[in-house]
Amino acid sequence: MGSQINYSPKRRESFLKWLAIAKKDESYTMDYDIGHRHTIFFAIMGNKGKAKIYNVNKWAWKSEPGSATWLISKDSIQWVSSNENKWNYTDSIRGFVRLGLIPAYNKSYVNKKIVDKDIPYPDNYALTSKEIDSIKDKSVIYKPLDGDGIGIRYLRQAHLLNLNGKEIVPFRNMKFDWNGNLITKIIPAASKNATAECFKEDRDTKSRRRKANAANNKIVYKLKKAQKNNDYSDLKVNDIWYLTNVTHRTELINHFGMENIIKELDYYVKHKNTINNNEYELLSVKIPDLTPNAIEQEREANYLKMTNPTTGEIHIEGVANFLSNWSETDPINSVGMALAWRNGDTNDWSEQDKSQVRSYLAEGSDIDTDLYAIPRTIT
Amino acid sequence: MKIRYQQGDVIITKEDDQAKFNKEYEGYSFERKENVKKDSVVLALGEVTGHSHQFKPEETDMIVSYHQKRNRYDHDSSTSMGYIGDIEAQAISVLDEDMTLYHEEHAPITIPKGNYSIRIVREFDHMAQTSRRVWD
Repeated sequence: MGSQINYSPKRRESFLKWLAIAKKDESYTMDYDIGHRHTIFFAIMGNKGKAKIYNVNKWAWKSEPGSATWLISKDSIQWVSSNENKWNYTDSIRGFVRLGLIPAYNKSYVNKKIVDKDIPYPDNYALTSKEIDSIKDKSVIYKPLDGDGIGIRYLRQAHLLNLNGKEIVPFRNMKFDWNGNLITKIIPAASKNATAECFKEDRDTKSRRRKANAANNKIVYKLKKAQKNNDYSDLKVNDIWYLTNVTHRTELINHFGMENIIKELDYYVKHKNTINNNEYELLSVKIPDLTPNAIEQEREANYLKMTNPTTGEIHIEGVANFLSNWSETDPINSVGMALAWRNGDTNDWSEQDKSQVRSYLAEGSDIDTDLYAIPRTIT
Repeated sequence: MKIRYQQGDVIITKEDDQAKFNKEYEGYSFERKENVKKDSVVLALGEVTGHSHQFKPEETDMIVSYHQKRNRYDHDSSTSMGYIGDIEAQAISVLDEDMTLYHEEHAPITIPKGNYSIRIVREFDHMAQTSRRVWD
């Protein structure tokens, strides 16, 4: 996911001017909001025209800024953060990039200075190609620094910094210029490897999604055809897992009948519980593995089987296998845990809550209602 | 413990702390724009069924619905219906006792007076390895 850069020529000009004339210990402050997070960057001039930049944000658990994250001069920008964990990137790198001191790489902007009519885009907003097409007077569109610039996008494993078209996982002491060109000659192996891993993970994710979407579309097409002709012979029980819409899935479950589905599937009941007089079963089902280069043909997946208390229809919905799918920690092994995940309550669990959950499950009981708020009414 | 009501995939949680509620939904719009049924308060729309969880028009003058303000970068690619944040309420204030929430496939539920946050349950798509809100 890429981040929008609101390029601010005035801020760039003002900051570069300050860099040129500031005396030792003088400071300069800039701020930026990312979502609900307010980040403040303040620069303090040191020796030889080099300023250290510190950043603090509203959500940091430390109120003091700690060590400097950037070392800046009129010729170069150097990332000097000692904390290289990927969440630190969010605060110090993404925030800095989004300050708008350098424009987005190879993007066009509207030059409001030469526009005497109302163009519905702010001058700091990087236009998409569709938006460029929609502007009739092309003379108002310009590329700052001849298209040079930076960008940042988040992939599952790390943030990738785009330095004038070259994407890398940031590394300590990397240095680039005010046009976004990488000055550092040797990129550390750790950064190179992490970048390669990022691209691989991204390719794999896209491939998985593409296959899943294609499979869903194919089965939806078959389902619609079956409804139209009242002939379901083209559909198989296993097609249920490819459908992304619950109504489609329920329709297929109704057609095959839950008993027949259960007979055909390779699954076991992990846990069952009755909540508010409604019966729930947490199933572990073997489903086709669409992961690229998958060694196994199938893998286990959690599904929650439940009944609509009003219509009596049986629903099956996917539930994550783990509380944290990234780190694969805290397996979801009970109905209460599955419902808490489904309702989004698990996002609010503290480490203490998770430890309590582990104790409940080790004792063979379901989680406590303090951790999963049971609705007073379910229909 | 939280007081909660559930109708199908919609979870309605009572928010007792008025100040916290006001702060949480401070930037939200009170207006209901582009409602499919002009005078109803909709909590969730159905993508395939077209069914919705909603309060009947005759009761909606006693309900304030809070909608996230849309900016021009917002889009929702997870649904064929596009951006629906200005139709679906993210929170409600029920100003009178016992308002009734209806849905075509679920029994009506009665919601007492108070402030509520709205959440749609999520599911895990094991094929795509990603979680998303449940759609019907």
